[in-house]
Amino acid sequence: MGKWDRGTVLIWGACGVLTLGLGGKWLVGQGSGGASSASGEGSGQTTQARSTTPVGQAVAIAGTPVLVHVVGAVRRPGVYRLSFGARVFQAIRAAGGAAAGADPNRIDLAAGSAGAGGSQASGPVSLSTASAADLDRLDGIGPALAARIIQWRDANGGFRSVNDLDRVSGIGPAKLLALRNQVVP
Amino acid sequence: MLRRPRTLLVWGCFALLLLTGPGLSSGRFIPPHQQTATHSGIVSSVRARAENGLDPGLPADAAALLAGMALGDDSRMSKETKNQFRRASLTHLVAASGQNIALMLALALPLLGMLGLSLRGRLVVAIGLVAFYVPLAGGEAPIRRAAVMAFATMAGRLRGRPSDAWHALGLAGVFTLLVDRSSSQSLGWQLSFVAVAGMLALGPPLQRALGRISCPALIAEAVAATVSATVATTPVIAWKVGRLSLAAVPANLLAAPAVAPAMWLGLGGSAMAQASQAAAAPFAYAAAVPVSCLLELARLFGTPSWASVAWKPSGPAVLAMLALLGLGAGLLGRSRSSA
Repeated sequence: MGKWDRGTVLIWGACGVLTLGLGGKWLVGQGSGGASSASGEGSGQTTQARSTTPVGQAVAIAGTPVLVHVVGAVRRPGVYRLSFGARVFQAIRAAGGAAAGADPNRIDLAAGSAGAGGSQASGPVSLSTASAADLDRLDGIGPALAARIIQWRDANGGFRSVNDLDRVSGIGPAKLLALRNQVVP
Repeated sequence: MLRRPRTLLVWGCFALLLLTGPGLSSGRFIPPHQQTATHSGIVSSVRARAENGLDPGLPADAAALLAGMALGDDSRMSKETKNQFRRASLTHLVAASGQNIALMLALALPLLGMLGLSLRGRLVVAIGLVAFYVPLAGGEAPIRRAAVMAFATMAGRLRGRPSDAWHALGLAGVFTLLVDRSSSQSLGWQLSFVAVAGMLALGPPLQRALGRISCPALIAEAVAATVSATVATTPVIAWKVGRLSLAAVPANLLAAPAVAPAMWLGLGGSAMAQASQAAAAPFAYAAAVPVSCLLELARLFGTPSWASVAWKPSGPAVLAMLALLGLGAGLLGRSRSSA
């Protein structure tokens, strides 16, 4: 430490600016998201943003128009004014369209959005019908493991029970335990 | 590096334990949250107070990351954020490891000095701090490894003998394996060892090389440590997880300035929270800035599809890569001493 020559001061300054800038950018993004859910009149639940799933979430249902908080893989996430009964594709369009890399096949674009609650599918994932992308979204499964599960399913004619997962390479007793309540055969 | 006979002896014991144990590759990856020991009594109440104190109303992800950095618990982070951290190779920040203990001691030793403690007194208190922090941070294999190294180094200083880091690393290997033979199967333990070995082997020559192109000492030291640890762990991550993070080096370099303040404020807040929640709040709010910076970096580097590509080299290939890195480090060091 000790020496406070110009170079050292410059380095510390640059580190400070970098930290403040990036931190501020993230906090500002959070701030606008937080403000919008706070504006909902008690009816909205917060929905986890998923990187590749556009989600429409009704924040207020009373009256027309309604405010919809659109989060996830859209170009401009935020709160948008839509007419009551608007569909998910309209919410996504309002938010600047799907972001690059978004997978529109994952959600029902015609599903009700405004006033109809979140459109995101939830509940356990079926091993027999899940795509690699569905599996990838589970806790403890990455793209490589998801691909191996699909491979095993194709090679062995499907999963008869969740226990069959144990026979996929890369899934041991511990991982099976963690997955048990997230999947059904 | 392995010149002294007692260091050779320690590494011999380490190798023997490693080879006669369950091995490195046979094991499956056990996620850290399933290895965590149950906390009891005083440790769990200290931990609960720290967790509350560190969350005075920050955004959920920021509070979760701050608790993760200070207490080594990533269970509150959203899956989305965890994924971004994994893809950007920043996950080590939320695993309690050597970085936590090194930064804790870098903060505690000068503070204890300001209180007027002698070197001996400071080291004794620091050993106590580390001993208490290990169960507090989950007591997993990487933090046990770091604690043994810290104990060996501080015991050496207490006896007025400078201790050799390679010797301390070998001791850490022997002790962690004696405590739990299956440690060698934990990915965290493996990465923790390879990262330290990488920093010891690649760090100094890299730092000198950067110094020769008139890079300021401060930057050279940080860059050398970050790059050497990241480069050394990359083949092991690819081997065990089957992924290669292309964002690892830039993400970790840009994260470096934010890590120490976030960790210090998190540890300081945890300590203050033992007295009162109100006393911890300023620490948590101040930590929000560097923590948010890390979250933004994880978002920037963890989201693009090029950040992480599938790549699964075989075990021998990984060993060859590590040997090549060691050879490179040796040559880099040699060229300096002969020049």
